[in-house]
Amino acid sequence: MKKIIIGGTASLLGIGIAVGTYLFETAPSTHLPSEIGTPPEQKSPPENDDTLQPIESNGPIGYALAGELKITYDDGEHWSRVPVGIESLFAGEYNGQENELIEHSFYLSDDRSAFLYVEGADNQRVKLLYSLDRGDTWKVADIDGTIAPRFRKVDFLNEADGYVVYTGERTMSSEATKVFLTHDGGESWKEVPHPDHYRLLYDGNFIDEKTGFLSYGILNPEEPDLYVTQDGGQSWVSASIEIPDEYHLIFTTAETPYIEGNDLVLLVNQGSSGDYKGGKVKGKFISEDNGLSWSFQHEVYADE
Amino acid sequence: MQMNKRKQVMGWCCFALSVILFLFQGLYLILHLRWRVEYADNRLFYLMTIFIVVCATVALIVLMDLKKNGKSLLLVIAIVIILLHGVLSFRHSRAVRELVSLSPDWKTYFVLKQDRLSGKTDYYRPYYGPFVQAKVTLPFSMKGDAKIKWIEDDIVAATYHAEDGSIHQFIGTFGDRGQGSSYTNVALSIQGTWKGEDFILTSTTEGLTVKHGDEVERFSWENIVQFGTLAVVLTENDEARWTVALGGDFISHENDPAPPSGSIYLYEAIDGSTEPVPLTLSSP
Repeated sequence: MKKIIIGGTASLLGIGIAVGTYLFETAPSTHLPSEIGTPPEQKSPPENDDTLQPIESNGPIGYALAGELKITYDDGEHWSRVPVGIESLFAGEYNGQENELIEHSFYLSDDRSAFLYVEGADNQRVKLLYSLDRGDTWKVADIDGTIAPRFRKVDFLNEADGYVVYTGERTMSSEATKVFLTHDGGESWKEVPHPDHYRLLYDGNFIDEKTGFLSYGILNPEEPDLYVTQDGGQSWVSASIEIPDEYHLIFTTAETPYIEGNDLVLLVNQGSSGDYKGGKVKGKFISEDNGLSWSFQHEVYADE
Repeated sequence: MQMNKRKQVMGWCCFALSVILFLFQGLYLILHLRWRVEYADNRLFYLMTIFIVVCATVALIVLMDLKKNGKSLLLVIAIVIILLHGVLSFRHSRAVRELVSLSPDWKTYFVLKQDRLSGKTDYYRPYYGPFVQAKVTLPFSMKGDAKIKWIEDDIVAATYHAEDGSIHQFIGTFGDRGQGSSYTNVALSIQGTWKGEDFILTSTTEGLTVKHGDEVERFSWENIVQFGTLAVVLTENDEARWTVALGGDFISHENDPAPPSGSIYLYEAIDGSTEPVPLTLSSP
């Protein structure tokens, strides 16, 4: 009996080993589908004006960075050199790539080209280099000193009025906000008061010479934090945004308001980590009191 | 008589061991064929089979009253099977390079398996005991060996070259140290300036900057690749430059206004032996 058990078991082991080895050797490879990537095409700086490609082109108007800053008003046919050092355009608290200008740090239109830059190493000053003749002659406007900018934005509302918003002196989650207005086409700039608020600025704008907005909170915001002025920056109040309960903690970051037809519109997005509907929708709000209070309209898709 | 009894016990032990290992091997085959589970090192299959054959042979010789010819035949069969599995194991080694690295606390391990012919390399997650399952294919075909470095007990960096000679890093992370319910953005959770040895790492909303001596490297978001919830690799021109990993004592304070605390590690993507540099927060 003992011999039958041991002999039988040994025979089964032998057969099992033979079959198992065969199955193991002939089993299909477990390799995953290939994810081998091809390196993205590298951007190399153009070598001469013939090969320059306008960036951020607004119709035929655009700029190029190729060791120096140049602008074109005819879709790259002719280029004008902008007399400012590249490093001045990226100075301050900026750690991004330097193959394109910092978003909002310049203004290009048919009748005006303007670039914010920072002059000086120790005693830094924020300045605006601008041209009213498509780059033939340039002027410099002194805006402010002492703090190196993080966020920076320049925009013009018409021939005379414009604004510069910038922030600096950032510590962990707070920083100072500075707001400047011009009413003479950029020649002189005057600082106006800003909200007594020190969160990190998300964005800011003016929609006319009196009405402006500053939106705060870029680190894990829980609700929009929008300030509004209706007297050219002399006083600021916190705007009331009625977030429906179902969108609480979803729509968290107010973008800058804009005029759409007869409405003043505000889009509130989901912040950098929002994933409601894939993070692709924003809340659309309307104000009927020039930005003081906002009521929810509906969801819109990001590219709507 | 005493001697005979001891031999009998040894024979039965070998017999039992061979049966248990045989059943284990059977279980593995089912897992392998049905769910693509593999041994961390596939050569374990051949080794285990050889061990089963040795145990079964000893058991048969001791427990069965075999004649001389029977014993010889048994030994010949056993040697043939052992040699066959030795050859198969060698052949497997030539086709697949298997890289297994045990974590410093011996609680987990990191497995890469490379098809030597194509260079295609798969990363395997530990499944249970010695069993692993293929998780992801490395983004670049691996040329030669990978340099494995455990940065923490749950973070390991594999530095390797692609076919075109470019250098890359793949980071294995094991667990998220938290509740596992939320996703953590590593680069955002280390906002501030970190210092250690001759290195300064700055993380802002625009990206990360690494300063070493006079050399400054800036990495924007599109050049920061996150692995799990514990590490990011900073890339430049589609090559790895640095790995930034969260130290075991790192606390992000994501849900309160306090700055992050603890340490992070900066590990350079180069050949040769380099050590991860610990950094601590100098200004939030």
